[in-house]
Amino acid sequence: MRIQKGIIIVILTLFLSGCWDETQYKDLTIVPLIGIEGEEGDITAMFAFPTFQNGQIEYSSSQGKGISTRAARSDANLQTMEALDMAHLEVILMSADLAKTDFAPSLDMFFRTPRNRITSYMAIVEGDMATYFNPPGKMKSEVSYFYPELLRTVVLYSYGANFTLQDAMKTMFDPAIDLALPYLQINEETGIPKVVGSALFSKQRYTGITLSSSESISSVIMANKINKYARITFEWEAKQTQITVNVMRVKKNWKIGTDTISASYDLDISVEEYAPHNLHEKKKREEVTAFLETSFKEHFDAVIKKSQEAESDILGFGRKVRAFHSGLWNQGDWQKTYADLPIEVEVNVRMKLTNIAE
Amino acid sequence: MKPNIEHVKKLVYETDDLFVKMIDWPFEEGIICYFTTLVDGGELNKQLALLKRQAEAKTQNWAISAASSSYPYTDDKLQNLLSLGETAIIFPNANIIVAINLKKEQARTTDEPENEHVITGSHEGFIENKDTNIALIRKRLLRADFVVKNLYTGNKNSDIVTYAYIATVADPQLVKMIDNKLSAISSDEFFTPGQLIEYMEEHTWSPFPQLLVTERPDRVASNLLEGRIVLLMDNSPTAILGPVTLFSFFQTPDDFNSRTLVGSFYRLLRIFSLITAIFLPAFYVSVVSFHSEILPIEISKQVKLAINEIPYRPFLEAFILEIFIELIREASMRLPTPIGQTIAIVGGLVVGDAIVSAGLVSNLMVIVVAMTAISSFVIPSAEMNMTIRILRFPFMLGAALFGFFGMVIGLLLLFIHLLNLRSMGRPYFSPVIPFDFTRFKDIFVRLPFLRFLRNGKKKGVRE
Amino acid sequence: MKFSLTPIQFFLIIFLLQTGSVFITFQTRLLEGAGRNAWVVFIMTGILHYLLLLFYERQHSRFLPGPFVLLLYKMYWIYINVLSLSNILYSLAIWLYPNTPSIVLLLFIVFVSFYANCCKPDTIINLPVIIIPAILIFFFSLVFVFPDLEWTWLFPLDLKDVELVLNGFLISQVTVVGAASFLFLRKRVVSDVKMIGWPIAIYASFWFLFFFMSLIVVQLFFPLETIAIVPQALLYLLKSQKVNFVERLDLFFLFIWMMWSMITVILFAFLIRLVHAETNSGKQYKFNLLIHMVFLLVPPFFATRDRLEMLREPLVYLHLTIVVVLPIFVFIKNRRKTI
Repeated sequence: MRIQKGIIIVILTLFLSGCWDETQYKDLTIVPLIGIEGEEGDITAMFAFPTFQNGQIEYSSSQGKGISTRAARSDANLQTMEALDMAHLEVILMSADLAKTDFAPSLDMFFRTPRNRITSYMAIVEGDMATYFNPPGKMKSEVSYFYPELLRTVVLYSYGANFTLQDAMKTMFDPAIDLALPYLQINEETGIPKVVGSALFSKQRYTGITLSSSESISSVIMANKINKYARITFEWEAKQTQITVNVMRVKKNWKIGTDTISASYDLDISVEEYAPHNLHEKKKREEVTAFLETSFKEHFDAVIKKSQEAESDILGFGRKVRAFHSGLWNQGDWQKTYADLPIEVEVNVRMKLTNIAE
Repeated sequence: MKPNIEHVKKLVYETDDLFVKMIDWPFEEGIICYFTTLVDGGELNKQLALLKRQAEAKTQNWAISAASSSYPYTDDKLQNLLSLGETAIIFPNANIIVAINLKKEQARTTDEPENEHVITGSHEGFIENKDTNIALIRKRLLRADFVVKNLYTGNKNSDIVTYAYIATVADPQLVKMIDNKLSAISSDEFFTPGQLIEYMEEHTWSPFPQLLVTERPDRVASNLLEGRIVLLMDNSPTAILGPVTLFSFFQTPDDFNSRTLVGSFYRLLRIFSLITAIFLPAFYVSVVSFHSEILPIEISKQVKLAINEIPYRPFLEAFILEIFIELIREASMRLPTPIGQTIAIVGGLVVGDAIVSAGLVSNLMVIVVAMTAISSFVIPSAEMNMTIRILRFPFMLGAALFGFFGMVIGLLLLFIHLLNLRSMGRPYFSPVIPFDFTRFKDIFVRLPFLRFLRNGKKKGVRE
Repeated sequence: MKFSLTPIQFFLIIFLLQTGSVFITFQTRLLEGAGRNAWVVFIMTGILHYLLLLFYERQHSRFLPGPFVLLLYKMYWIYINVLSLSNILYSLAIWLYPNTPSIVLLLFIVFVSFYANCCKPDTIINLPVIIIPAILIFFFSLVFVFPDLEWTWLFPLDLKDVELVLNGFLISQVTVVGAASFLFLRKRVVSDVKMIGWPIAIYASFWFLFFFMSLIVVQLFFPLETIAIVPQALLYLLKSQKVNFVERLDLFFLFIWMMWSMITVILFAFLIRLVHAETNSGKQYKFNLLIHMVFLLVPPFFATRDRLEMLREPLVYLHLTIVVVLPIFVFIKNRRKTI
């Protein structure tokens, strides 16, 4: 009998005290998009979120200011109906100005709060954050829906790789590799945000140097991080034609010497666009392959050059150097070493498919 | 004191359906008595003529025939025989009773039981007559080692419980244990199979049925062949099978009549339905009130849209709907079939729709609860079905209090409880624990019989 | 208490006792302590563990501890249980339940343990079976991570730094924590089973594979520089996985781990009762109630950051005394007696 009484008392206490950590989903506002600008110590954060009224989804946004990201979020909480919840965060936009300063602490909250999602995408935007939340052009969809889809496309077409929050944090804190994030601008003609390339980071700061979108693809190919498609178009001036190829498979081989690096690539490609339909001839195929090899090499060289200019080892040569070539690694600050390192690129192209009917 | 007509009448408290008369017999006068309501008079005359001829021939065992036997006279015995529907001829001088068993039977036909339909296979079912039932089993097991044992239970010695098994397959210790347990029953109540089950079970307070109840002779026969024991009672079409495991309740004879792949698919489906029936509402409650972060982004907006303007907590919402569904089920079961169906439709469709548009319950919750209800109805055994439906409430409560934590605690308690359970002394959670891989596979898939046969030959099963 | 174990049950119990309390935290601590050497250090631990088991197996018949030694073991196991309960509470508070009073969560956990310990020994020794699917899920979800691993992080090794290696070695000893139970349960294993040879080798290699894989995955997923900020690296690692049907694999894993730890707690409580019953007769129920009161009342006190550290600090040293030194002492003492 005593035990039964005890059990009844325990159950009653539970009912009386209620559910301490209950957070009803209906009382939360899910925030898929957040934009951060300002500088360390004076952060402005913008939130875009759907609101649910009378069975309809509408979109709205809110802004908060504070000395840290968390403070800005609390500030924004005071101006929205329901509490903002970051558990479904899909995209973090960061202004280029903030990225140039020591911004890692303002992201730390997103990364380490257990409830938060850490697979959200990160991107750098140029200029005022507010214009990205209310673009001057006529948007077909809401921003909180637009950016996630846009960045998913970036991944799918290999304009960038490894730019989720957790990848970014991991890359940033690893001295042997540097970060590249998608870079957005407002398209002057249409007034709609557009991905124009990748922003290069050195250590934990944005260098101000960006890769163009075709260079971004090249850098993804060079890091062997390609997704479903990696399409790149070359202008063949000698023949007055264009050729588009899709890189299907990359085999990279980095040879690291005492003070040089030679990187050789074997690319399996398929031809997707080539107007002079003469690929059925073996000679022409060889000609095209030779052209592609030089073109790829040019592109790759350009990527290397830009990244060295920015002291930004986005391809991660440093990781291999640190693991197996301690002499080179210990020469000092790796980013400085990398900037002055002669890097030889060699490309072999294998035409596996010609996806246009021949 | 020698028995006479008055005395016999007194023994049965002067009931009017007693037939009692003096009867001439070759060597002395006897008293014949029987309940007219239980005995077939025409047949009795033929039997009497036969016995008389035997008595005239003065053979040693003249009283023994296919339908008669003799006992020394006592009052108790007489009462007992009469109440069992036998005809008693008392010979006061010789002090014996000759009992003739010619019961007039009121029996329905051996139709397929209502709640255990199969698509293909035998459509016979047990009826309220135990002898017929045993005959139905025996005709499926034409072998000498099929043993039927009768036991009189209770103090009045009038309730017969029958247990049957296959001697070469069933474990003798088990048989002995059953016998002891049945003999130990001392109750004067006229009891139902449900009461008998309570006597046989070890864990009365467990929500899980520990003995399998069926009205299908084919099911009984196949279970007997697997070494189980069946308990039968007179006046009840229910056969009680044991020892069983949890997973016996999820198999139907249909599995063995359908194709291997099909049978396996439905077996898997039933195990899946077990999981959804217990956990789905609890899972939903914990997701929307604790762990909304696990929702995939694509669904999250829809979920949010559905529940945004519901006034109640998800637990209350779920509770309202669950109770509602249980009400519909109970109501449609008690009512005659055509009305029952109407109730189900009115309840399910009309009220379900109205309750959503009234904004009391979200339409997602309707999906969850409907899915749960349907899953629980998939389980073939009616009792297990009830158990599963009851079990979901504690899980919902745990989920409402602590989210997943509550569910995990519940799961562990459930698991420990299942480990504790015994059915007739055998582990209830059997192929899982103690682990037996060959039988474990059998929970999820139905393997072809040919393989069973081959394996059986290799291992040398006693046959 | 009467029961006997099949070799599989025996090894499953030992496996749970060894993994339950530590397998989610040890990687971070080892990587912090030993840096990139961690995996080499752990191979050493693995070999040592195998030797330890062999040694136990050869000597177990001589293991006849006196009441004082038994008391030490009981205290040690109570300590481990308190530690892992505090750990569960702390993790739950961080990940999901910051506002729920820890005593309420603990009440339920301890109730489950108490209920299980009120049952027949048969029930408890079969309990680890529920974890088998969890082990499979665990391995499976680690395989998900494989494409994201950075294999160059295995190097460079720095084995010359003896202090680093020794430190790591010491930390990695926590994975052997439950090994002493081998000595107590060995005599319950159905006799005429030969343990030396394959059984122990298979067990030791499975144990090794389990820990080694979790270590390698963590080491190759996080750069060494961020290890310090992800205390429960395995959970973070699963959190960063994208699956289609559900977000946040880590939450599911957190609960699998919790269930795992709870069964470990149950098993340790069972061991304590087992050892207690060998010397004391009667009043088993009251003793059971007593130890569970301890489990209920002590851990909430330690479920804060500082106190948890304080509680965890002596684990390695205690463990070395109890698992290695004390048995040797008992063996030697008994050898003298027999000679």
